[in-house]
Amino acid sequence: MSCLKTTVGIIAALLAVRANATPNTPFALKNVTSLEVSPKRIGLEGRRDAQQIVVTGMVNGEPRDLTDKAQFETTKQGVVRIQNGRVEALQDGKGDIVIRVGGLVARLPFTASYYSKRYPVSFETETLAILTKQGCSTGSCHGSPHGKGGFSLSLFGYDPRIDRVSLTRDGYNRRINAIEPLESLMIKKPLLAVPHVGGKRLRKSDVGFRVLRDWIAEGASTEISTLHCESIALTPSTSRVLEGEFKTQQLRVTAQFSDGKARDITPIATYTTSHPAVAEVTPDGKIIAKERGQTAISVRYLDKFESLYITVVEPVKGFVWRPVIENSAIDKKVNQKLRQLKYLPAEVCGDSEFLRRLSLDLTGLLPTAETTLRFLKDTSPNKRAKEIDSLLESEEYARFWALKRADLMRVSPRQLTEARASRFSAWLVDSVRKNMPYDQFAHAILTAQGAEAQAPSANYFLGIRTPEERTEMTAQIFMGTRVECTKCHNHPFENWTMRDYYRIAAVFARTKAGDGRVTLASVGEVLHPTTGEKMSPYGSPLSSPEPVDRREGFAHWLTAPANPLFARVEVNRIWADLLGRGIVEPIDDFRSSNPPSNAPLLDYLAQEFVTSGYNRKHTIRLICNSQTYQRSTQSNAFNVQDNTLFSHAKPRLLTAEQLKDAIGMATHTLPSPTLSPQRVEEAKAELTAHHNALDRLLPLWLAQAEEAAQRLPIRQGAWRIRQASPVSDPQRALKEAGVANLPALDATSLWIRRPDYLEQTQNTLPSAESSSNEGHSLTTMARRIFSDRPRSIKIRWSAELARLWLNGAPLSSDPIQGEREIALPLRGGENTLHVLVATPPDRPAFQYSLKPPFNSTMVGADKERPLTAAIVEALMVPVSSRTSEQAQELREFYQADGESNAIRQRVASLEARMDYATQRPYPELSSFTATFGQPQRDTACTCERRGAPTLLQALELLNGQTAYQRAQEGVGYYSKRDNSALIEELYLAAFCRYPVMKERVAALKFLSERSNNREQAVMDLLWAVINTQEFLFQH
Amino acid sequence: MHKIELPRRNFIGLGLGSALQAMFPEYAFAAERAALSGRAKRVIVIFEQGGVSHTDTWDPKPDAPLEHRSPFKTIATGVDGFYVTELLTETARLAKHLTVVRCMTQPTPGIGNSHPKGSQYVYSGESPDGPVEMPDIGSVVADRLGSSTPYLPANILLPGTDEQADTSRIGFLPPAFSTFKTGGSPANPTWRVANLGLLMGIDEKRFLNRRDLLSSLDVGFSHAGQPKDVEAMRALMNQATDMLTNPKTRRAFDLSAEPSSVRERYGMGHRGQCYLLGRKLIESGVRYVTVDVREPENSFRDGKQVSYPGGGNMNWDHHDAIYSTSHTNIPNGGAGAGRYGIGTWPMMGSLDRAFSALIEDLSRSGLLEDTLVCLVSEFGRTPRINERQGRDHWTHAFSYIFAGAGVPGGQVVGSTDRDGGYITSSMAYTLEDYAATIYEKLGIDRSKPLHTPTNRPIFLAAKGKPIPELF
Repeated sequence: MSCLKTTVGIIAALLAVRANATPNTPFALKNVTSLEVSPKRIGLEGRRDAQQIVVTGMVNGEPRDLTDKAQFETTKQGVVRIQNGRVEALQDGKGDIVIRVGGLVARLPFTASYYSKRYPVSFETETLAILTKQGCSTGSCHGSPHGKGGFSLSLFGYDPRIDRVSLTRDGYNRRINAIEPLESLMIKKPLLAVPHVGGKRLRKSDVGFRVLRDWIAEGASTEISTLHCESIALTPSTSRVLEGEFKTQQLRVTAQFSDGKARDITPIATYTTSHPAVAEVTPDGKIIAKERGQTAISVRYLDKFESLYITVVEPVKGFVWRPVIENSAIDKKVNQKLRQLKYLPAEVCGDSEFLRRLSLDLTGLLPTAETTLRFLKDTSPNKRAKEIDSLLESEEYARFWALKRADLMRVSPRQLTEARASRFSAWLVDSVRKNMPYDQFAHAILTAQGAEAQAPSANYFLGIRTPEERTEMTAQIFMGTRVECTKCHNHPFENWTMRDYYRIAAVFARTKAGDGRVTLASVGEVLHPTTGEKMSPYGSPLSSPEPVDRREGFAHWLTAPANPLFARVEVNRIWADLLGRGIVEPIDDFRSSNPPSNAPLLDYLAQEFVTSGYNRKHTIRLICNSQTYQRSTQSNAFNVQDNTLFSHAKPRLLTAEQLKDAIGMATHTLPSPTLSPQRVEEAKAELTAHHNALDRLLPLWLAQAEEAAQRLPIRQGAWRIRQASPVSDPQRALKEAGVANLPALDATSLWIRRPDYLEQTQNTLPSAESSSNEGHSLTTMARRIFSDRPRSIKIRWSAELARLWLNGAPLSSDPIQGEREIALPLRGGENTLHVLVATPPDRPAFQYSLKPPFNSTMVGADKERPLTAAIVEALMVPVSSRTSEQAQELREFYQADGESNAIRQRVASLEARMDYATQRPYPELSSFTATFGQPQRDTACTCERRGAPTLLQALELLNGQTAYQRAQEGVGYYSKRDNSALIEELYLAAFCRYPVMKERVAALKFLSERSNNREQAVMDLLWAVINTQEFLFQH
Repeated sequence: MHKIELPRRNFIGLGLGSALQAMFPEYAFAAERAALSGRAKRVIVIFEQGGVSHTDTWDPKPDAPLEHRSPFKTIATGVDGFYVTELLTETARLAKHLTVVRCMTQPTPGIGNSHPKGSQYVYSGESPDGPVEMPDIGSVVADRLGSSTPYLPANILLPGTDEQADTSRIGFLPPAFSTFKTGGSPANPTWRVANLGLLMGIDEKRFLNRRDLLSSLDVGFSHAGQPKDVEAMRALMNQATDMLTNPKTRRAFDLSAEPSSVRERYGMGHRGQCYLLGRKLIESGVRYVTVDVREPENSFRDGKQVSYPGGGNMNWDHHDAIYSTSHTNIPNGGAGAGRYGIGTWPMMGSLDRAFSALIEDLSRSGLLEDTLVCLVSEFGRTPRINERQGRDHWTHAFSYIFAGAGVPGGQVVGSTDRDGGYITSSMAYTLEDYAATIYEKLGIDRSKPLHTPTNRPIFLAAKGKPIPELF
């Protein structure tokens, strides 16, 4: 994988000889025990070649940069010049550089050759690198899509062809003046010799000035060379700590080129720091510590990108590390980092705080007052661990954690249908409930195939259709990587390129989704938008033969234990869900320029995740049992500034779903969802009782219905449809079809009953039923129509190609194409309408309407419900000859009255837990939840869920319907209790604790002063409690 | 030079996000530029959605072929060379305050040629097909300049219709800057803004009692230092309380406080009262007001219910029977059903009345000095009348009207050909130019980009330039 750290430092330990320490050696340097010098030999070619030396010494067991403390001498005078560790040639020759520091000496051999040979500046590898380094081609300057001031460059030089035209052709050729290089706009503008909106970007002392000037003077050649950079390497290559006297770190950057040569590019590479307050980096690649903290120093050269993590440690006055309880390896890693950066962890939180926090984190819900009391009274030492285990086994956990996943997978009726969203959601809940190993989970999603009704994970592809969208979503969810930048240009802060993007897209190019199913096509490619190259799918070796399912290779690559992102991204998500902040933050923005706040912690969690078999519950259990998770929100003087190292818990505004349910549960207007199974059973029993009562009246209803059916002027029976058969020449097949070929209506074995077709006057025969995949198909349909007397009605239909017969007589002599309306002369009594229709694949076969629409009738208590055609047909059969199927159908129809449906809906809603925002299968998107940042599920970015408080939220809480109504409804329950019990139970339900004296007094006073209007007073108290900061936040 | 008021810290985004804090030092700079580059302290955009026919209104074409010519007479205004049609009789008298730009165009035909996309284009001032979904101009203004009135949102949309769910967008900005949409019909005597008036049954006394109880109970929560979100929420709760109890908030929305002569001057229907409410909000100091109004089928006039039978969707999308004297529902009609003819009261009749009242009012009170008024639409309509006696979408040339905040009065910018189809002047301006004009008028520094959550820099109206004739 291209963004992996492949850097290998070219470090050679040279023989260090201890010489006599000079008397003025600084104290720290006396402890230098060994010296390493990079590179191990220097070869300079031509006069512009130069090399950076990095001198590293081991001081008290820590590697320290000694470059700016070392003295450099050469054994051969006048051949090279050394400044700040940078070696430049003065003439041809060879010798040794002698490096002295802290009483140690090292020797570095060098050669300088071809001093008088000219090496022209290379447009692609030098000029473009300088345009990036000076900031010209960044996204906020000329690298933006429309450029700036009419001058447009490709972002960080990703497309030299654009830059060639911009530099040498556009702007009336004034940008380059080869005769007088210093008159070129490319020089005068950044020097601010003429006005430049971007300000001063270049100084005459810069390396960039020399490169640009020489390149122009040499004729500004823009030849696109075959030489390209394959990789870059940093020295040092691993993270460093800067502290005490060692506050700087010199970098050496080399580029490996396709001609096999490595060149020192230290002065023309571009340096950035992720946390400028912690450390900055000079244009020469020297890192300078500023203040305590961690930062990533990133180095860009053309399209290559590498980073180095720097930790800056400073003394903190009065800081003394105090050993604390460590429950697990998590605590050890967290405390190590805290100790190194001199922060003290907070105390462990109390039981009330713990229970509320844990319950909200694992189930999204507040614990009930009873649960809280039980927990507070429990005196066993492992009660926290027991509670963690018990909540992890709950249905509420499965649903709440599936919701987090569903947010990312766009499980919403907006993207899918309600039914599909429910099925996908149920699948996600089940995967959490069964604790499906996460690699299997990813595999099941990414290789889903078939009808979503059977394989609900296929909805992943039904919600997002294009290979590009699938690329971005998959990368963001499973790789924690935002690749969308690379759709149009190489990633500005990472090694991801456009090629990577379109190679992932190629993985999904043959995955077709539609009509509720995912299928694999045998063709379909993704082309690189600028080069037109056919992209080979990511994760599969380039040479391998075309696989059956391209996604398999990708899923295999993704879920392999060696994948550096897959496990880390998921444990980081879990960590962020529980601690309120990722170790990498934002949690879906993994890149080397965005360092984890505690890399050993992330590595440990990922390792543990992989070895446990991608067991998410195991990871959650590990974290929840740690002291780190159980820390108080109360800070101390030595951790109050810390926001990233988990020294204390972070209060978090409840999410939209948590808040909505919490308001319901605290006001006692939303029963605990643990009661849901019981409530489902109760509702089902109610339905059975209702049906039993109805059954007693069934004979009466049947008699009424039969009579009513007889009174209908026109009745129609159900369609009988013969399964489609493919034909090669539909015109001819239809022409040749005669009445004789039409099977009789009673030949039941050939016919499928489809009573559900007939309820509307407009009927469509869906294509899935009527067509095969190849060519046209032929479907035969027939239905009986009863009329009380001879009459003519109109039939209007539309079909690709169809023929109709009434009572065996054709209604037209030839097959009819398209739309047609004709008269249908019915005789009194029974008629038969035959239809023969030919349809191409994937089209609706036959749509028709009858004018006037058929009458229907209503009987029984349930006057709102008309008899359906199928029911009418069943009623027309005398009781004695009714099949048991028909009898059952009549009974079911009769029983499906308004009340049954209402109870059924109640059962369904209880089973789906629709009343619980944290538990339901898809978001309700009410104005309340939208105000509190519930995502619309339009993107795979967790940033869609907005956390920062807004004014509209404050208005909604203080003055919104939800808080108002819940408080009003809660009065019924709470006002029955005496004041003291009321306050106590309310506090247990809202905060998992008893009220403190001050609160008790205030609430009692409020209630007793308003005893003349107690209901209103209780309502106001409920309202006040759910508006407190303690309620609104998780802590 | 008049005193420049430094914008207060945005009240919605109070303490929310370091990006904002980092941006704060620029405010001083931005305010200084405001004095130099523009004079607008606030903006009112009248967005007449659907595509107003320019040749029937602001760009009369008396010499167009008879069969395609507007039936409405061309009339003179008080300004030489400034003609409009008789549909704008009242506004014509105020031409000395207006600049009409007749050379507006959508540079890439097709992108904004539908109503959702076209409207989004107007709201954001950016082509809706870009790689990043852009926030509305009003949201950007709220983000950059904040509110000058802590008890009112900085960016208000009134009353809005169902369509803004799709066309008004917050893009990548935090939701705090989304437009505050009032909804409803201000012409209805019982109308009030949801969540801004206190709920039924809670009077101010009870609300304050509740607040006191809340303050005495809000003590149990101990937390680390000053967590940003906790402090922000506390401040926002205080501010929301202020909004709910501050009489100024209610006064800003209270149309009944206006003299009836003023209410009648604007026209006592839905459109007139919305325009009037827009003026009230501007007067109260709201930074950015968008009036997106469509007379409803069942509306109010003079406080009484009226209905416009057949007018289920009375925007300006006159594909059918544009000159009908009532509804446009014709046999075999097309997409233009549900409107009323352009010359009827719920259409140009009420617009002419309300717009002239707004300009007159703002000019009389002096607010026009530092208020930018824009009257805009997605596009114009075809110079040719189609077979259903309607006019279809036309993005090649259309007219925008500007006034106030230093916009020269009595000015016509640009010209179109004999039919009004294509621009004949040397200049042509785009929706991006329109957005750039607003930013520049407000003194917002466009050389400072916004940043998406992935830190991509986004420049404001990057493809646009302020329209020079408006400065």
